[in-house]
Amino acid sequence: MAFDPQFLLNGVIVGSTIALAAIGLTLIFGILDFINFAHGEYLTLGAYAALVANVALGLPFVVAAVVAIPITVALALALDRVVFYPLRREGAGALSLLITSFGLSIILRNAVEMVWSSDPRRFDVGGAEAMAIAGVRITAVQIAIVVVSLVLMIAIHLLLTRTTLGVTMRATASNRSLALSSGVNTERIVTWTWVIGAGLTAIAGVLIGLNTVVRPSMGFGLLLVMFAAVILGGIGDPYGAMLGGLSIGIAQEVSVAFISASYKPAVAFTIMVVLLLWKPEGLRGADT
Amino acid sequence: MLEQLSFMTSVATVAGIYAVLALGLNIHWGETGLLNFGHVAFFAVGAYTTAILTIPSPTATQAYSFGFGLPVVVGIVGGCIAAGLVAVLLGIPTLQLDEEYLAIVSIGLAEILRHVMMNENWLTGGVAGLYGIDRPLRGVIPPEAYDFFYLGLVVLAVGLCYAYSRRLKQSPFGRVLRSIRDDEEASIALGKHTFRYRMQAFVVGGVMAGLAGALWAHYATALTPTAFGANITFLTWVGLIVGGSGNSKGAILGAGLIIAFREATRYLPDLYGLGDIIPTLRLILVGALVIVTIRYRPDGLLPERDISYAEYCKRVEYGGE
Amino acid sequence: MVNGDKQVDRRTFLQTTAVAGGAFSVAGCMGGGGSDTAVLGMLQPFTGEVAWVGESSEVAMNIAVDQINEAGGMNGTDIEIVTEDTETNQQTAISALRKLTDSDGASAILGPTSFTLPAVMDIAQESQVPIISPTAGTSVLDDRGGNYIFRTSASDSLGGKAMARIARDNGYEEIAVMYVDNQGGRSFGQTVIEGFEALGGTITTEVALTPGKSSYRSELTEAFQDEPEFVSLTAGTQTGQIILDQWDEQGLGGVWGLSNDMQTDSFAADVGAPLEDSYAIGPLPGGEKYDEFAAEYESRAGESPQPFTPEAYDAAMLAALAAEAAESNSGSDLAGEIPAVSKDGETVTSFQAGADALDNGTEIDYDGASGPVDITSQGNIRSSFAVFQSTGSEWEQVGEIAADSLDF
Repeated sequence: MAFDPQFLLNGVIVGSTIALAAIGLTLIFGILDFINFAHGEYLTLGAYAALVANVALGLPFVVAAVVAIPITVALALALDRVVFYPLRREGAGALSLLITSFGLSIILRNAVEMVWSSDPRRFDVGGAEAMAIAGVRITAVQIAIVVVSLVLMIAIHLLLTRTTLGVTMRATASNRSLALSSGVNTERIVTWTWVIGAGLTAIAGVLIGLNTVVRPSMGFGLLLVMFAAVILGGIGDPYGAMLGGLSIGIAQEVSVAFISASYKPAVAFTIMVVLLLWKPEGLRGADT
Repeated sequence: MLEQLSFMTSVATVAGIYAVLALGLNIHWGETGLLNFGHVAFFAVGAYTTAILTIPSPTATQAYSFGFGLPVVVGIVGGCIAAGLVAVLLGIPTLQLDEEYLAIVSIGLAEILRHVMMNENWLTGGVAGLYGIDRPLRGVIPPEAYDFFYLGLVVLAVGLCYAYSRRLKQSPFGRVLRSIRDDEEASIALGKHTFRYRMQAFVVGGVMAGLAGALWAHYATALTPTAFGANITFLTWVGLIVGGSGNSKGAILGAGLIIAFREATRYLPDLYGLGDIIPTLRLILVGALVIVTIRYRPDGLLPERDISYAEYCKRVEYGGE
Repeated sequence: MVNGDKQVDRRTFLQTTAVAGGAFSVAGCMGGGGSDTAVLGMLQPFTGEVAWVGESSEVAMNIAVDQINEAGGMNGTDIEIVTEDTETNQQTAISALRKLTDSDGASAILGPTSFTLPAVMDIAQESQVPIISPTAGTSVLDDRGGNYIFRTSASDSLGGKAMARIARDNGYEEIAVMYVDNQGGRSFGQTVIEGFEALGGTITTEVALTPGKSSYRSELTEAFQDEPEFVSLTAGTQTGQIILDQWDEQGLGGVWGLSNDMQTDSFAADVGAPLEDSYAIGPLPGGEKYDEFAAEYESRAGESPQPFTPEAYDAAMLAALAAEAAESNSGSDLAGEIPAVSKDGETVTSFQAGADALDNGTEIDYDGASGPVDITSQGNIRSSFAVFQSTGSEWEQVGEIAADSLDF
């Protein structure tokens, strides 16, 4: 059986959206110092915000996608203020934040299901007919997804390397206590982390919804995959998350050619566990 | 009223099984500070092991290939041992790393295990699962009293795990564990081999979860992968956090409360006629309960008793081997 | 963890919790199970991806129970429906079943799906309360039913064979098989494979899918690698529609053979033109009785009947008629009458007619909205299947596969 490059392409499409969402997760992980289990729900909320704008309000898809970003960011900031900030102020440990985020995740997911039901929904965009290019099938929408993801990753790169904010964020993510002691205003950094993290995650949600369907469990279903991407890349390392997301996406889709497709969800974790045994500091070997 | 009693018995049995799970998790998190988010993996291994050891050999139409028809006692012991072995295997790559890694890898392992359960028909019966699991002394105890007998067994298991946890807390070993939890570097400085201690605690907690799994298997008499989702781990955590981690009584109380809450909310539709949104609303309430507890009673209903600093130092200093 | 200064006093917290708990327990003792009504329990998923199963079969059950109560109730007692959510999870299903049998005192239980039925059947048996599932096709039940476990839905092993027959009868020699990897999907998919090979055909690829995913493009690539002309798919409507949309987008060709879950008008309309000429199997429409049910369903739910809703209606009818025949609303009494009232007797199609005939000492054969519903001693129904083909917007019946032609 010859290997079909179609699997690789599917992997790149899935992987680039996972990568976007994983950047947000790893930044929050690195800077706020806790694993946010509600991260997947931010992805879902982003997709539903765009869905409402697109389908219910009849806005053009691109406008709806752009509108979804500030809505998701505002929600994330509001939730931070109400749920996480009081705990941070009291100096609660990572586990308190983590368990709280798990509770939040359940609340948000079920609230979405209560409002929109569990039926899968689709964006109102033009027909998607795959074109055959160099022996693989790809739709115009999918090309757009990969391009948008790449552009955003480059934008994040510029932000992290060319702006004071970005440099401070990276410093805080890689060594929180050192950054604190050098007088970084953490609450300001935290706010920006939510803005960037939730913004990217909202776009990831919209793109995933565009590539597939929008449903209440979409974000939670990807949460574990995003974790794997973050671990693979090294916690707090945005470049690692990009690389991790892409590798996991590709590995999952390509695995279908070799093993039963029902093991697909387990592939990400097998890779993660093997990597931890072999190279615990993450693929890029960055110091965390 | 007898019917209500029978229902209460089954709720209490499930609560007891969760109490054993929570006691195991308390050894991991409450006593040693291990962030285990894959607790259901040990639960599942315990359940499937005892099921495979005790069910009769398969007939031609059944999916699974192994059934040993051994006595239930052998099955339960086997389930505990298998769960302990899994703890060793999982512990090797993760217990030397930062605690967040254990959190994520343990979730991952639980997921992989669930897919193995779903796919490896020869071992687990696949998605169809395993049926007709025997119950201890089924022929001896009269059927109308059986539920009470089984509840008694579960209570006995809770009692044993509780007694063990209490002894552990007062033993030199337990003190080392807490010192690792509170300040690992200090423990290393005192010459403690922390990996070994963590591993031992990890195995003990895993064995308890395995025992809970075995008790569940013989209670339910059937196993399918749907019974081993991540929500079991989550519920156990909620119970432990609400009850009070680091305190065995808190673990038992929390597990009881969370199961009581889950079952009591079944009656909500009768009360307010909210109808369709009740099932989702119930889950939202569980989520809110967690957030509120962490926010306003971060140490749970029964917090760990404080040990004076002097006492603590003395214990750490003279406590080890 | 931290000891913040803004803690609620422990006593207050305990008191609040205790009061809330107490209120629930009191409510628990009051709710349901009163002696002036008989309870029919319904155990179905109401949350998650298959929430539609619970919601739609509840509508169907309400229709049946309203008709029964209008005709004087079950043995003269009004029926009250108590619904419980399985959350598609064995543990929840067991607790919910215990509540229905012990706390609510249900005479019979309708449901659940293939996911959880095998896990609760031993417990139902012990509690001596019959389960009549309108939704469980799992082949596990083929030789384990009867006694207390019955179903009004066709077994997946029959459905799978019918699918194999459709492919073979239409001249396909090489087919691929895709199925969702859950209790419902796998037993169906496996019987398609066994059946098609028994009929002398070849299976090119077998692909098991995880349900509830968002992208199945790689699974489709795998299934279509040898360019099969016919692909059998077993999945729920949600997963099924995602797969068909992505199949269309990828331009992979071939025709589908879809399992009965997808044989709904809304499904054919939603997928539309690409589905033209593809096949689906489904229950034989029950003639007038079905039309009557469908009209009532539509007026209540505002949509045409979902899959398994006529089966749910029939299950409620069977339970009530069995109680009439047993002259008792106790589960252990009526269980034995369930096969008896479903076949070999005077044909009745309504509760009123059935109850009247039973009062006159006549044996009855209930024929319902989903077909003749003849329950075997193993608790299964032996039903014939209808073959449907899509016109590009709706399903059109093009043939029939008799139950007798499935013994291979």
